[in-house]
Formats: sequence, C-alpha cells, structure tokens
Amino acid sequence: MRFAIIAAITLSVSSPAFGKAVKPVQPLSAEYIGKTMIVETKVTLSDVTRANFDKLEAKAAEKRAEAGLPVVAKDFALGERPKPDDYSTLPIVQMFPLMLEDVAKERGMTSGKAVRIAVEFDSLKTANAGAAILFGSNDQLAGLVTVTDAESGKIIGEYYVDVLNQRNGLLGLALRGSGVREKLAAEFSKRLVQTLSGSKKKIKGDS
Amino acid sequence: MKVGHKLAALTIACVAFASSTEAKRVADYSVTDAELIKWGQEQNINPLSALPAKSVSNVALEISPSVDHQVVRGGVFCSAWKIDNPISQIIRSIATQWDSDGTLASPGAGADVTLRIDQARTFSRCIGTGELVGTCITRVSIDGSVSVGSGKESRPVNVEVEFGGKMSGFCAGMAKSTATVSREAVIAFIKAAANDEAKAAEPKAQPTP
Repeated sequence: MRFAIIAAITLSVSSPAFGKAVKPVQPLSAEYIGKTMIVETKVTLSDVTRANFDKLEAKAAEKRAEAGLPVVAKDFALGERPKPDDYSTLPIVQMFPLMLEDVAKERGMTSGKAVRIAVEFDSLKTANAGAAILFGSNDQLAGLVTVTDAESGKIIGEYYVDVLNQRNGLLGLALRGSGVREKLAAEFSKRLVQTLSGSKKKIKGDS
Repeated sequence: MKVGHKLAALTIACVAFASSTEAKRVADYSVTDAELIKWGQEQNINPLSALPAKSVSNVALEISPSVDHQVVRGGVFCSAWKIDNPISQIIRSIATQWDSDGTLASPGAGADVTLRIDQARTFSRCIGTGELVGTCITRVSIDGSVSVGSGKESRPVNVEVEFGGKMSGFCAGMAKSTATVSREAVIAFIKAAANDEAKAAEPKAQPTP
C-alpha cells in the first residue's frame, strides 16, 4: 500500500508532457523540406482502435446536434468550409484535413511542390479518470503519415507521428480541460507541419 | 487485475518506455519453423502461412548485403528498443526448403529460377488501446525480382506484410513478432516466385493459322 501511495504521488507530480515523437520511416529528401504545399489530405482509421474513435466521434456528433448544425456523414465531402469553432463537431476524417491546412498556412506552407498527405490513425485514446487518479493515464493520437508528390504520384516520405500526453491525478485532468480529440489533432498537425517545413520553432509544451 | 499487479505492469511499461539505456535485441531465426509459428500464436499473429509447396526447379538466390537491417521504430512506446533483423537468414532458409533438391545453386550457374533480394525493411510501432492494454504492429517489406527459365528476364517483386499482435511480453515481444512477420513476408515473396514458375510451365498457346 505504501508503495502504491509513493508511486501515485511520484507520478502525480511528474511532467504532463510524456512524449511526442515524429519518427521518419522514409524521410523527405532535402529538395522537399520546406518547399512543399499540401493540396490534399486524406484520413483513414485503423481497425485496431476503432471503438475508441467511435466513442469520440459520437461525442462530436452530439455537439453538432446541440449546435443545430446538419448531420455530416464520415464519407461525405464538405461543401462550404466550416468555421474553426465548428471543427469539434466534425468526424475526425473531415476535421483533421481542415486543421492541418490551417496550421500549414500559418507556417507559410503556401507555395512549392504540391504534395498529398495520407494519414492512417492507429491510436486515439483518452485518459481514464479513475486510472489517472490511481496511477496516471494518458491521451494519445498516433498515426502513419505518407507524403506523395502530387505531380508524379511517387511516395516521397513516410513519418510516424505520436502525440502522447500524460495525465496524472485530478490536477492533470483539470489542466487538460475539454476538447481532447481536437487538442491532440492540433498538436499532431503542428508536429507534422514542423517536420515538413523544416521549422526549428518550438511547439508549446516542448521542453 | 489487482492494483499491485497494475503497478507492476505500469512500472515495466514505464521502464520500457523511458529507459535511457538502449535495449538491443535480434530477431532470432535459429529456431525451428514450429517455434516461429508458436511465437506468432503468442503474439496473436494468426493464422501464419504454411511453407510453399516444394518447387520443381533448381533455385538460385542472390541477396544484397544491405538486406539485413535495423527495425524502424515508430511512436513513443518502446522507442528505446533497437531490434536488428537479419532477415537474410530466413530468406536463405525458406528458399532452401523450397528448392527442388534442398540445395541452392549459385547465381548464373544453370538455375531454373533466380530470386534476387535487393532490399528489406521492417517498421514497427506499439500503441495503447486502453489502460495498460496495447498492441504492437509490425510491417515487413521485401523488394527484389524473380527470373524464371532460360530467357532470365526478371520481374520485379515487392511484398509488404503487416500484422498487429497482442503485445505479449510488451517491448520484449517485438523481436519475436519481427521474426514471425518476416517469415510471412518471405513466404509471400517465394509464393510470387512459385506463381511465375507455374506460369512459365504452362503450355504456350499455339498461334492460329
């Protein structure tokens, strides 16, 4: 019991930034780094954690209904571009491309060689409150990103992006707040764009 | 699961995740095929393919020295683990078993079928699917070519095999899953060669007068 208490306290005071990684599987060559613009983003969800995705997609649909917005099917193309405030009401396959485009524009990826991005998310997990209080838990969004030259159709890069945020104790959960899926997707986008643009600028939360 | 057990599992996970000392492992191909299949079952990589039926040909094998490689690790979990994949060992072993007389010919020494392996890659990532529950996904790709018959015109063959396991032994299980998934990729490559061999053996259609 004493060990459990010590472990819980130790984990509770540890840093909330548990681990973030962009691992190159096939790195972009220098001719592409910082010289591309994203013309298309496609998202697929792996079956491995389908249940976790479905749970959060249902919450997004609830938010959409509460806001009085029309229902959006996952395989349905969006007409008018939604406002950023409404992103949280969209399924992740439609929300993520919008977020990525916004971040890419902010970081100046508006000209250069046209690239297509394909993301296969294979993990979306949110911290469990009970576990967070007892021994710590985490939020995670991870996936494999494939970068294709839009002109030649050739795969020019492949990266695995993993955003893992540790949440310990009540304080950790309180600091996290709401909109976990959106926060994870935004951080995933920032890390990906940082890699594609070759930017050395620090991302909030990095030590 | 009792709290004590969860803490023990968490401690192991944290050590595996956060250890600054790189843990080095090697995919072991010195075991029997039955043992590799057993490892696959432990890792929930099922069903594993049977070895290809014996060839009728004299097979030659050419393997580029760069084929043996280190597994590319994606994600945060188990990132400190470095795994070497000496995949040429299992390529040689399965090709030998496929060969008609169980002895590989030297390339260009009158072989009926030549397998050329240019490159192989393994990509693995471990992800959390719930509290203290996770899975490791391993992908093995092999690029090469196959030539059949006297003309020896080679056809490029690229295979890619991916399996998600149940993370038995957590990070320690990755070397085993690398070995079992590599076995699947090699079998897929040999099956592609077997198809080419079978096609070449088909009687050619006579031109109509």
